[in-house]
Amino acid sequence: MYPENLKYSEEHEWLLENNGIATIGITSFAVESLGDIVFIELPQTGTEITQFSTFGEVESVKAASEIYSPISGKIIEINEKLETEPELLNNSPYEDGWLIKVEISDNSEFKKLMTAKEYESFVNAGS
Amino acid sequence: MNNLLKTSLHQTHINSKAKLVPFAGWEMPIQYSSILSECKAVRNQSGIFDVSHMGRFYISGNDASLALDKILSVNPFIIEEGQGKYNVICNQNGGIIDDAIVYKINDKKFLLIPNASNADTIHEWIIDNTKELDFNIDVVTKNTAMIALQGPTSTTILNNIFSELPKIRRFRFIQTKYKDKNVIIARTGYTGENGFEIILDNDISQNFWELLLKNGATECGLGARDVLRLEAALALHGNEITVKTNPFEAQLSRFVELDRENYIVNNTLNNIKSQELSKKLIGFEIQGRKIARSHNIIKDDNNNIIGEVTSGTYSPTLNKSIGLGYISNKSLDINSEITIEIRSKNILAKIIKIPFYKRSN
Repeated sequence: MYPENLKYSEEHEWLLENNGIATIGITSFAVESLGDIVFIELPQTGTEITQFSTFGEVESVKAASEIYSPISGKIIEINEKLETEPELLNNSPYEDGWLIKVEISDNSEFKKLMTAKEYESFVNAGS
Repeated sequence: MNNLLKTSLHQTHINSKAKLVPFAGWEMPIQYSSILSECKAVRNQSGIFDVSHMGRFYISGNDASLALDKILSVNPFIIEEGQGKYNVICNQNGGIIDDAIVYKINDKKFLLIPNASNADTIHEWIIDNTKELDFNIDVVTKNTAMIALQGPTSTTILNNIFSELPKIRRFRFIQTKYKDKNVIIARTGYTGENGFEIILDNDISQNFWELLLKNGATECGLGARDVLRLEAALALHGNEITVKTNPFEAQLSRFVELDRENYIVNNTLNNIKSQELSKKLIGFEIQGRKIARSHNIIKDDNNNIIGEVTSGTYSPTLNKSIGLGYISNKSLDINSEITIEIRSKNILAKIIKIPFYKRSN
């Protein structure tokens, strides 16, 4: 049920790697537990972020939740559409609802992420 | 398995794939599709809510009016037959134990609707304070269902279901029949929209719910109900009103009828009323889209703590982040700027008029 081509973190973020650039978002599991998302706070491009530390915030009608980066690197692009259409996160968490693109600084960090299968077992174990 | 109580509509909610959560000892639907789309349905068409978890007490007997005169903030003797009244139930310090609606069926029979979470406390409170009076409390919460039908099309929907339904004015109710069973239809609600609350026997509730759906109503959960009541700035017990809040600071003085010799907290409330209030309830709008949550701190422009948020949400109807809270600084008024501390950040907000949303018709 989780896309096979992505890597996953325990904080429910996903990462898609392509030529040293990581596209990052939050998983359908995270989106469903948050409910209607109404606001996403993201840093500016150029910001350096560190694996497993927080870089933004998602606010839903029910609760606010921090977003943690699955990888270290420099943000080269943010999804500006989310500012006016936060519902993209609910409707399309793996495509239109991506959050940021990051220039990956350390490829060895991938080891600390999960495959789709591992993430699915992780989610099932937790619930 | 859990020990949560289930309403007679529980299976219907499961069939509709509602997200169910524990609420005041009951397993209740918090949402079906999405909180925001359910809010929109209520504002633009109609929504239905299972509110069967709320208490339903029949209070009847020779001293029924007298018993309620001791307990309620409104005078039951002057309520008309077929009329309902919003009221609060206060403790010996004037703190609000609960808010409720009381319906007068006749001089010797009333229906009281307390909140689910306070129903047992209210039951005890009535018994403890009305000893030696001749009346009974018949709790029918588990034998009946209560459905709120709310939205601009709600009158049309009811007219489709009940032929020759008389016009029911706001805060009035009628007793009628559905499938030969007694049904109460009250023109009340908790969304700021036109609407009704319908009380009926458990065995016909599922059928009636489905009929409402067929007539175009949207299933809505407690999540949407909370957003809608907040847009209408209706108090929620546990948030805006608690045992530590009196009705005057909660801006509920219009629901307090004093100078009644039987009313057990008449003198306490008269006393509080004559003194200056220590805090006041305000509505605010946040600059930006962060959402204030209950217990966030409110500060003035000198960074002094002046109060606390009681409720906050994103309002889909107004497309704004809104909230309610109490402040101690009474010089601040509509358009005054305040700061709200949200997760250690100071966020600017402005005091605005409540209710945030008022329907046009």
